[in-house]
Amino acid sequence: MKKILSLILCLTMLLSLMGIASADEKIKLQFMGWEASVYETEANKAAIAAFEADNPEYEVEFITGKYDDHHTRLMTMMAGNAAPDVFYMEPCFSRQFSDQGLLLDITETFKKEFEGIELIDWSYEKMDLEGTGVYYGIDSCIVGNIMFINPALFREAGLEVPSTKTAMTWDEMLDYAQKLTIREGDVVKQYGVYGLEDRNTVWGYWLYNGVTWVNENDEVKISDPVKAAEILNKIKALRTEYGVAPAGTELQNSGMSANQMLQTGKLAMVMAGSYSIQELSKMGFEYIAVKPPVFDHDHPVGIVNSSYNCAVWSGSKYPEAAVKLASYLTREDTQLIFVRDGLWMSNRAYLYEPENFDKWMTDAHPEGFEDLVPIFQNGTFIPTYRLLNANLIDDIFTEEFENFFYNDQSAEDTIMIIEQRCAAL
Amino acid sequence: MVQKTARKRSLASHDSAWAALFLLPNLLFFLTFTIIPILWAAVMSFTNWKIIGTPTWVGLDNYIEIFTKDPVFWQVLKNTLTFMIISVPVGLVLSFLAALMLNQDIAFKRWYRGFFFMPVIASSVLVAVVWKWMLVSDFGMVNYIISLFGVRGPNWLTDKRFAMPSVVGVSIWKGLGFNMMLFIAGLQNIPETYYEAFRMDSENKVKQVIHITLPLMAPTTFFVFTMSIINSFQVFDLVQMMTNGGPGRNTSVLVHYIYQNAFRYFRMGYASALAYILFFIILIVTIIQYRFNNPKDFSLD
Repeated sequence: MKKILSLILCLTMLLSLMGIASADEKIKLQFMGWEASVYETEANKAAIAAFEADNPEYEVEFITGKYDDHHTRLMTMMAGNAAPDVFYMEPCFSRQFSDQGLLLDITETFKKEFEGIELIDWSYEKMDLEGTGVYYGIDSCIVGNIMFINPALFREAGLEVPSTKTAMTWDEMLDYAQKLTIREGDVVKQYGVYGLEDRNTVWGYWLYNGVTWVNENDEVKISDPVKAAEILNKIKALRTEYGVAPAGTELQNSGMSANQMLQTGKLAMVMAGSYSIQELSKMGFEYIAVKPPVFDHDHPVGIVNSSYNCAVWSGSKYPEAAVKLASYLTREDTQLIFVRDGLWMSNRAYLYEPENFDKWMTDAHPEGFEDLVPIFQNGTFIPTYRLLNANLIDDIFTEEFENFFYNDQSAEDTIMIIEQRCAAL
Repeated sequence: MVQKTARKRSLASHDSAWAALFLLPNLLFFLTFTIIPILWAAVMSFTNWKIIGTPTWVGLDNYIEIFTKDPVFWQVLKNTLTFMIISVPVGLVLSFLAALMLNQDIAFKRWYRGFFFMPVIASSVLVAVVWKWMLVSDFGMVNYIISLFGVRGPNWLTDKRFAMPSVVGVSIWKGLGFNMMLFIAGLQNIPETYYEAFRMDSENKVKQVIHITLPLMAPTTFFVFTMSIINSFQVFDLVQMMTNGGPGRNTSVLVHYIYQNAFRYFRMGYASALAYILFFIILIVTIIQYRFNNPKDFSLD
């Protein structure tokens, strides 16, 4: 009897050890992203669960945090040799990392996995930052600024709700904004429009009106300073001359997001990233998205890219597994988890064909959203993101735009100072 | 006798050994996390280190760039000095006045002291978030209160004329309680006999403060002044949280710029050079303070 008991015990121990051994055999990967909203984290966890279900040999830990600290954390984690295997990489930081050999060259994987898949043109630019055909990240997520509207406020004011089909002209938008700005004495209870003083929005208006800011020698040089200044002045006038827009940074301090202000009727029109669709669709009020207003219909305003590529750390203990995860996270079916939820737009060209709309457009997307498809298809990549000091250049633009919008610096001086400061880098 | 002395010596050396042993962990900690990083930063300030990779020796290039090619450095230095010039005297005077008031025999003085001290123990992030919200131009509490008097308040944190004073104001408000407590401790150390002697000549309270309190408070004032100057050069958290240096660079201070260079632009060598410049500025200011500070000032004339 004792012998049988001993045998059972030994077998149990052996089985437990085998269990431990098999658990240890799982390859543990870390994936780090930033959190635009809690819904993004949920969507990422769903994507990871799908990856783990398809690849039971892997276990993925998802790390998330604020965008503001993301690249700092990443760099310090790399310095400490404890970085995640796969992570979001904002293109404006990408070259600083790739130039130090911190990102894995995943060109071959990309070519293999994406063979026969046609992406929208500017998605290739976003991945091939140096223009050498070497990819240090795979694009999956594209976003851009569009205009969100609370139609109830238009109806209350007896105004016709703007169409999704045709972009408003600047004057039409200004007229709406003036009628939708409500004052009680000196206090503004409702602003007509918000979000146009944002750097990416200004860049969008520059680009689509023929102003670029990087020349053929990769120097920051504003191609048409007169036009650039005119655009800056038009945007600033909304707040300073017409009083129909609050200061951008002021609103961020108020404790309410622009989406919440749109919902609660403090703002009637908001220029914001297309990722807002995810949050707005869950807020339980009627909203629509329209094309950005135009100065003239010959220059329709599309979006300028941002958001991330999925990159792999060159110091990963499991580079093959990490590349597999990065590749999985950028696959169409994974991407569609985010796209259907309204967080991202797809970089697959074929998904923008009308017959494929039903693959990604859901109830999360506002009515008439299909009319906005061309502005994503024809988006433009931010030209400075190709440069090595792109994040520093970003900050210079932000600071000098703030000096223009809030500090009485003239548009002409702003342009000149931006060029001078960038030249000194 | 000789035996006794030898025994005493042995005990003393025995005690010293134990003391050294107990101090050792702290010394090791101090060495590892303070002294070595300080020395490391000094070396790094002569390199182009980017957090990762092998640093390349660039000699004085970082320092030359800071002083001759970097207009932002001069702007943030000016902002830092502005912060100091406003916050130190105003903070000193207000905390001294608060201490004088709360050192009187008034009802609930312990409660008042507690209220004044509360911001000191609150986290800077919390303070910054609350004040950011209160200072919003259209929906904030500060402008709402101002509007009750028929005045339209400004854009506190986005208008360059008001952004720095706003940050300074919050900084003073946050640090007031700490300095006030130091002053109260100093005030309570002044013997009552001096006041009694003064009252024989005059009942004037202002003169009493000028001729008795202020001279006897000189050591405390000097300490608070020195610490306030050092703290004002090191301000970072409120700036980062309230304005992130904006609008433009109007509230960006030296430590904020050091942080940006180190952790946003990954120019650790350049940031180390900036940190050493800050170190020397604080050192020079402190030496000047000590030089100007006459020990006779601490005694009653």
